[in-house]
Amino acid sequence: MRSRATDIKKVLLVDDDANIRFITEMSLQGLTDWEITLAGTAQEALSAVTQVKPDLALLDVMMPGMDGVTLLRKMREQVDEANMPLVIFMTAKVQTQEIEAYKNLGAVGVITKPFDPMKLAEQIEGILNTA
Amino acid sequence: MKISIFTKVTIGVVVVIVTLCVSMAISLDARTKQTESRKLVLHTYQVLNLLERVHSMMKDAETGHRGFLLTGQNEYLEPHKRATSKIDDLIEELKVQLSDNPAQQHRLGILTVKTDEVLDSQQASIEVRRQRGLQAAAGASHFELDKERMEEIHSTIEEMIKTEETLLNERSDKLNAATATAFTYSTLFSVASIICVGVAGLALLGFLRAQQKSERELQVQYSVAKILNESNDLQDAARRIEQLLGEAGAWCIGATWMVETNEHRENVLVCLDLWRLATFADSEFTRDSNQRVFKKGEGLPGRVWESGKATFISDVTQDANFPSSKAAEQIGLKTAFAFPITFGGDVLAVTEFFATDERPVDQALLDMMTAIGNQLGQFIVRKTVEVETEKQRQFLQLILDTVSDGIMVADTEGKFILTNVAAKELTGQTKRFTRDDWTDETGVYLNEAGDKYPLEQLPLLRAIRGEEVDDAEMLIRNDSIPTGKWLSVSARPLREIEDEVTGAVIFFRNVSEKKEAEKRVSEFYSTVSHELRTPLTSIRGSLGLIEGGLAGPLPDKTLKLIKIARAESDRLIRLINDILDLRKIEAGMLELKKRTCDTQKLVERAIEGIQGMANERGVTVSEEINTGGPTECDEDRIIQVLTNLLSNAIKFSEKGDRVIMALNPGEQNTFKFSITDTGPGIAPEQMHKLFGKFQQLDQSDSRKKDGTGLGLAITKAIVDEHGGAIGVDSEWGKGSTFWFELPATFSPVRNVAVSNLPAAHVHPALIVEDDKNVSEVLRTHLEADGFEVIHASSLKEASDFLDIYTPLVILLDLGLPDGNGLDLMERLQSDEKRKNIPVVIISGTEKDGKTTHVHPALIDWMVKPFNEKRLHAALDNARRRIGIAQVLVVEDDPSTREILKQQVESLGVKCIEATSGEDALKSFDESNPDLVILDLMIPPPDGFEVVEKLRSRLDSSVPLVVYSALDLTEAEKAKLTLGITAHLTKSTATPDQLSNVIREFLNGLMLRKESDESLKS
Repeated sequence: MRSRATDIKKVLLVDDDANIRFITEMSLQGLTDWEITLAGTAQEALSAVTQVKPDLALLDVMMPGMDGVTLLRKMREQVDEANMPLVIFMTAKVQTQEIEAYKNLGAVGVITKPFDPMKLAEQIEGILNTA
Repeated sequence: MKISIFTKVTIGVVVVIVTLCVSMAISLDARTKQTESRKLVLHTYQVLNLLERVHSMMKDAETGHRGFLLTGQNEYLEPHKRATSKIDDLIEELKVQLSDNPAQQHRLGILTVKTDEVLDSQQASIEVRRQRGLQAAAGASHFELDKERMEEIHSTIEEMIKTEETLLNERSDKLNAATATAFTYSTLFSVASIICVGVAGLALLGFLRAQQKSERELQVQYSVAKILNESNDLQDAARRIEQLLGEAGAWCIGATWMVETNEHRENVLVCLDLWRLATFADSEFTRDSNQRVFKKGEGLPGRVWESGKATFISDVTQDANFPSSKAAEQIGLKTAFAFPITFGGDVLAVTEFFATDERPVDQALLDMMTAIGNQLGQFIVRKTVEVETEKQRQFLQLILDTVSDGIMVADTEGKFILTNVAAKELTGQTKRFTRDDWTDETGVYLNEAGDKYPLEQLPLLRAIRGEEVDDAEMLIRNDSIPTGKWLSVSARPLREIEDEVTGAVIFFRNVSEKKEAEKRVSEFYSTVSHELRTPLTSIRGSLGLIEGGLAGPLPDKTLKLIKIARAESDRLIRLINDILDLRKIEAGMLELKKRTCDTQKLVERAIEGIQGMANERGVTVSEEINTGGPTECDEDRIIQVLTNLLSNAIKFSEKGDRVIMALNPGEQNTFKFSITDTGPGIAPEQMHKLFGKFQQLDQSDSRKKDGTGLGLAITKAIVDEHGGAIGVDSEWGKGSTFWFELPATFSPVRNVAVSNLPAAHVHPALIVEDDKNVSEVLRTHLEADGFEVIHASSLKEASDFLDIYTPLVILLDLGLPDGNGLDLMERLQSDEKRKNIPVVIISGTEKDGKTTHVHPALIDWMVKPFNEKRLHAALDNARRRIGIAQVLVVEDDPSTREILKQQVESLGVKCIEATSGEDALKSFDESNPDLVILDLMIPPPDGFEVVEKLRSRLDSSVPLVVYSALDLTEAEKAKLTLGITAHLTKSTATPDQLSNVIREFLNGLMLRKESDESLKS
């Protein structure tokens, strides 16, 4: 099973907010040696998944057009199981019962926004190591 | 030959005499026939009257009987008594009257039997009611049977009446024919006779007149019966009868006076209707009748009322007791006649007639009218009851229609017998409808998505089953209400007879606006939370990266400013979270996800989480745990409460101080969590403000700046939602203790030595042994076999463990300080969840044969010092008890599947894995598992379809555990059933629960398998 943080090499970051994309990228680049791919829409994310084959995808939930939950479903439909990345939702719409729902959808974890950029990598690793 | 006059005269006389004789003979014959017909018609009337009396008597007896059963008041027994004493006489009389009609006699036979049965049955339940009260009487009464009997009585009487009426028609026709014949003959011969003998002719004429009159009388009686059958209302009947009788008797005015109660609560006669010939329309006498009233004994109607007898006045102008004699005289009225309309001896009304000619007293007329009066009386009573019933119904309807809630009353078939205007408006239904129309035509849905409300779950049908339903919400959407309406529906069963549901009433109101508002509020907070957090993510993120040095090194002053900005944005985030939290709690939308939690674990987790902050501030947090055990709570929320109180305590402590987190038994079966600090404490006058919103006790206290002022308000709300209490004990200058209590699942015990309880998913072995050396040896052996060991040195301790955890095996000593180990076994045996735990007894005494307990899971009984090999064999046995079983785990999520596999295998059971529905069906066929654990949302076919397919097979009795994230409805659960089936929800079922279910299901199966095996061998 591919779940340990040390196995992660490529990370896809999907968020419609350019500022948050910039900050998240900077945070992860500064603190990990992961290769980060950015996507601003669900469509971009879908093509990136097939092209880049990331090990982990960080998905924003509330995005115009297609939201993160639908994106995850589409990814399942379009991507082979072997190439399917682990998924962590990043959401500002935080309600405890929703976290449960996201996990039931197949996400390995949920990170709530706003997050501390200096602890983001640590948080992700924590999720991956306990999943 | 010359005939002499004498001869002529003689011949003439002879001819006349012969003619006369013949005429007389024919007339006499006709008369005899006519008299016979007349007798028969009267006879029919008598029979009809008798039948009516029997019928009403039985009906009264039944109503009274019911009344007595319900109230126990003797007055209700009167009709029953009357019926019992009179019915035989009436039947006897009927028997005589019907002696010439075998068909009617047969029916009378049935009637006699049925009336006796009903009266006997009533008598029996009356006795029971007297001696043993209402409930016993209701139980002893055969309402259904009696109802059938009454219906039979009713239909028999109807049939008899119909037969009699047919006979009456035939007889009337015959009578008319006979009269006509008689008339023809009589006239013919009479004319001849009159020519011959005038006197004889005159006599004959008088006779004929009498004949015509009596014929008319019979016709009148028949017509009255007809009018009464056709009339629906009293006034109409009165008018038509006045006209009929008036015209038949050549009267010119007729009036009917009803007994009514006036404004002085006196009974008086008032005019119901007045009929008159057109020539008398404009007279004082007829005009004033509406204003006139008669007291008892006053005027002609008053006299008849008083005496109850028909009365004849030949000349009203000469009568002393006739108030309007002057008015009568003006229009030349002479003869007056009145008869009472009676029922059961009471005068209900009086009808009177007037004529302008003076007539002699006519006794035959009086008799006939008295009979008609009886007939009318019965009619009036029947109509009055009908009118009263209708009035009550209308009154009830009127009241119901003023209510803005929808109200519907249904019988036990679910057919609505009463609905109000609001009900029709709210459901959009204007016609009467039955229960099956609810989901089809009325369109009752569970949600906006249009899932139909399950028919059997409808509040109405639940109430018919005897349940009480409160505020069930449903969506109504149909042609009349295309946009849909949310209704909140409550229902109650109706019990007209005790202990028996005779119908149901539902009442409902429109809650669409409330629903809509809730939805908008929820959406609003969701949006606000997103809209506020998104920019904060960028702000907080940027500051964090700068502060963390990822954007390059910073001068000290700049770094300090950045730190301030970062800390304040953190505070802003906390504030937003708190406000949203509090808002949700206040809106009643805090949904607690309660599950069984271990109190000690809660404390440990909270301390772990706050450790970083404590270290930073140089404060020690120490725990004092004096009890433990499970409580039902939302783990995350209680951690939030504990963290909040701990962080407050740390904030108000100085460097080097100690904060104590204690867990103790609280009052009334609760756990008391308390956090004590040695900070400044709280002044008594400030205490009441503590748990309010935005309360800062001391504005100058800089430490308060860290908080939002909402923490304690949220804390209190969460504890309240859990049904717990919260409070603070503090002394100014000496620190504070914040505490709260949560209800315990079992009564908490002080000082249970608990050390290193294993994780919930591990199934440990429990050693119950008071000798430390023995238990240590046992522990070594068990650990060598891969068990995790828990040790209890007394029965009490063992029981406390068993309340929380289910071990895989119990090693039990019998001689314990607080009792015999066998008592524990007995307790386990009566505990459904734990009776299958394998037990190995290791005791100082031999099994003495006296022990009568048979524990199904007792594996071995060893005597100390025990044989090591035998112990290991017993432990293997404990695991192998369910070892030969195979469990098919159908789960597409790899990690969940792995956990399930480990759990199943920890029970020593073989696990077969399947990742999709297709896979599952294939594995099922290949390996024929003893138990299936099934997730529902799996690659196709999904869990629902898998169960459906397995159900259609012969071997559909395999035990099933549906283990899914979905919350299933009862209907869905019913669908998802194979053999013995359990439905567990992933988020709420604990691993223990799952293990128990697997163990329970497989154990039952193994026991069966074993007995099968032994039967075969």
